[in-house]
Amino acid sequence: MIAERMRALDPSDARPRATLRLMFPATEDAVRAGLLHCRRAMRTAGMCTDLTGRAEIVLAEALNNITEHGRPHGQTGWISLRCDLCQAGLRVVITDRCRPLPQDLLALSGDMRPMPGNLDLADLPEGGFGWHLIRLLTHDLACKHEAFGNRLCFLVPRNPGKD
Amino acid sequence: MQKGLMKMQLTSRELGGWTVVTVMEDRIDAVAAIAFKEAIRHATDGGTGPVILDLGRVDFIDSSGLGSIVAVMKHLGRERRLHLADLQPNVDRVFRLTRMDSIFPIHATVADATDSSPDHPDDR
Repeated sequence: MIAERMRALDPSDARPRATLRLMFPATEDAVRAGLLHCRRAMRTAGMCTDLTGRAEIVLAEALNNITEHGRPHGQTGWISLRCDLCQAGLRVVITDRCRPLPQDLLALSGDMRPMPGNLDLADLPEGGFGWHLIRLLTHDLACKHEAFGNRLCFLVPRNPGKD
Repeated sequence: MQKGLMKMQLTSRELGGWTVVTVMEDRIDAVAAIAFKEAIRHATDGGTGPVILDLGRVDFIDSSGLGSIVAVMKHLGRERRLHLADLQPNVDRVFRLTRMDSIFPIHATVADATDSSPDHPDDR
């Protein structure tokens, strides 16, 4: 089972700070299991429902992007996830040993916000929401392709104002 | 598990001219998106009138799941407009942030929708 491959540090800590580390294969099923594990850990660490909800959306989109775009043909890469609960919110570092994400996904500027407006039904977008959600829900977003793979960092802020 | 083998539990019933489809899963995500599309097409085939997707049990949706709901809306077409009901907070958030809340008629409850006439769903 995927879950048995995970290693997690107990986030329960006398101090307000908590850390969660997970490693899992870059597959959709493993990502789902990892997200459920994160949700439980975030609740155990005392994160509020709002922050937990925003973090789950961002983590899902970031991890799904890796499984969709970063996996070498016929191989399963590995994803390493670290979440630190801090004063400002949840600080996340995701590293993978997959191939570089496509440049259009890495472009951190520009507005990918889907604006359906008066589009015809047939023209409604069925995708392209993922990075849009990540940008809207994070601060300090940075992504680098390094020798070992990709490294994506961001903060899910504790007090983002109204979204 | 291959996506095609993933099962998606739905229930479907006719109610006052509407087809009400209730999702019995708590996630519509990348794992479930394709199975969701297939299941809802199967659940709505042969029916008439607008469709309400009851999302009350769904506590998480990602962009793949959102895309699959848009695909279902396209499949049903204008004659069978797809409505949504009972969005949980984190599901509602995804619809709002992507502006998809302006595309789908969204109701607080299934009853809110079925109490209205299905003949002019676009008026809502």
